[in-house]
Amino acid sequence: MNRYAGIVTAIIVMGMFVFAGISSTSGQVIEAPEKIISVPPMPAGDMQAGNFTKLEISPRYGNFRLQPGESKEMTITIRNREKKTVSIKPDVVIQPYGEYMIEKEWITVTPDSADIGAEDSQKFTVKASIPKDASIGYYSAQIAFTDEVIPVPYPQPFPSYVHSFGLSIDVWAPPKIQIMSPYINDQLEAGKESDYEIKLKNTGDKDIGISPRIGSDMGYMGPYGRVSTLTDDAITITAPKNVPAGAVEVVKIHVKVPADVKGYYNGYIDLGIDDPSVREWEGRVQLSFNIWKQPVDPFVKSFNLKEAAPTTIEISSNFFGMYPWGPWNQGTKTAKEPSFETSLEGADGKAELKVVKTVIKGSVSMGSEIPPWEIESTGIYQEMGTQYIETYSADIPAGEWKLKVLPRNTDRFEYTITIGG
Amino acid sequence: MDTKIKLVTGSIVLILILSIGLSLNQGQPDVRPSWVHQVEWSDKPDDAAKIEELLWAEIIPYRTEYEIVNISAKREKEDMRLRIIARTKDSDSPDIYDFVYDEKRLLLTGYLLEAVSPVYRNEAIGIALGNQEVAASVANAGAPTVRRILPGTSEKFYAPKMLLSVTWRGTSALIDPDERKVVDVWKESVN
Repeated sequence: MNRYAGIVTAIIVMGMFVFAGISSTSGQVIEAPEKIISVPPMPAGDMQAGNFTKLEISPRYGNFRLQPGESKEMTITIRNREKKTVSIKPDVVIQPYGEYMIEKEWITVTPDSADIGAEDSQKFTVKASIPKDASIGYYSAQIAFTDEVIPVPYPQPFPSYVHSFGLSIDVWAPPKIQIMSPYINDQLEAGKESDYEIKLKNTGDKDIGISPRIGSDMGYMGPYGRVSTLTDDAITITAPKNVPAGAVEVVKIHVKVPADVKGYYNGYIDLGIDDPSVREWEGRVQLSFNIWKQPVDPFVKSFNLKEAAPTTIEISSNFFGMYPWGPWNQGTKTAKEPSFETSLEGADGKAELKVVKTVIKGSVSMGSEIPPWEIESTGIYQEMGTQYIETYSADIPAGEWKLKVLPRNTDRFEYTITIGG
Repeated sequence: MDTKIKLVTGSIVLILILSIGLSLNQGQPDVRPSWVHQVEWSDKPDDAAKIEELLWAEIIPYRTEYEIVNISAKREKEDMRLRIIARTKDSDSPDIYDFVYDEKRLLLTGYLLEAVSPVYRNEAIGIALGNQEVAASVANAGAPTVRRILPGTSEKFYAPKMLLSVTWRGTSALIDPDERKVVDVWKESVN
């Protein structure tokens, strides 16, 4: 039975392709979803002070995301709250400033005029058509439905129209270059060197030039104002001059951390991609390094034992202090498990410490502290982190003792010394 | 004459379609999609076949295929609770779906979808870090989780489409991977 259902499905699916081929044209444009910022209609009552015409305009703002050569339209409804007919004549007003200036011809409004009766409404269609040679960038325009402006007691370079619709257009193009390793985030050891690769794939049909450089104009230093101690000259970039069409090239990053450096480094590599569809921030690879040094000398805790007693020592790693902290680079998990070199030394030498227990402790959440769009994961177990605990025991005589702990692959640990029991 | 040609041509096309349909239908269970390679049940109910048929319309991997789909069923009064754990070849983390089955339909009650391949995971993190607000908040915050958000949830925040959530402790960016942009940012409020 199901086999026949499969056959029928195949016929229907193929039929859909056939009909799609007949009815569609090759130049079909799949448009990005339109995002309209929802703003309540302009309250008519608020305008009474200025004796303005009472018109409700909905929506007040629109946002298109279009590629050069594409067009899109949306509908704006104007409701006349006056007791008389109001004449509307939409005018596209271009602000004389902004990243890019829109051309008036890109925007059409239909109908080009209308008389709206008392308590009646009229729909207008706003259509944006982006020329094929338009530059990538953000554009904006206003559509003034009347020439009424908000009066101000001082000269204004650009009038504020009372009955207006604001249109923003993000003109974009899919990048020809794919950055296959868009971030590098790692813990580095002082005095050591690390290498990373940034793979770039050219999906276009022309070679694309690149000129990577270290970005040094970071406007921020992290949430707590941490000072970056690693200077840009510690990072060396080796890269080809271009990425041939259809090829993958590798930009090599070599980081040499001086032995005396500690702290954080936040920066980026500007790949200098010669492709206008790649905006400045899109052609960057974020760098985030936490510079760490494995300790050479152990932590020492002295304690006094008044009489001989069995002693238990527990050492536990930081809960989230895995080293490095996780799958930083290339999506691979490179975290190293914490460990401890632990010894107990008295006046007569070292006591024999035996590992009697190793505990792996986890933290599991069922959805607390999550963003609202992850609410559907509530109730499903999610492991948040792991802690390693080692327990040692020794029978030691009375006297002064020193617990020495040399941690590996963790930047924080806790100890417990239990005497007796 | 024309009518005869049309009839013959139509018959050939129909036979071709039937042949293709039959060949496509061979070698795998009737309703199981090609992107599911293996299914394993625990506590398999009598209507497992019907549940599977409904399930394939509800779940889908993200730009890959499911190597194995584990389905565990637990009957609760009138309904049956289903936990689906689907694994892909290129991700350590699975996609987890929770459903309730009432003998007619499947109701999705929760999901945690982390079976995102390293390529798309890296891409999503890169897009998130391209947002200055996010980058400033998460410097040295550790590795983020990258989770798929289904259209039913996404539409409440942006649009009814598949999105990715890149989340560090206390900060999350909702990513539209098709348009390569951050569509929303969440920061945990600190009291």
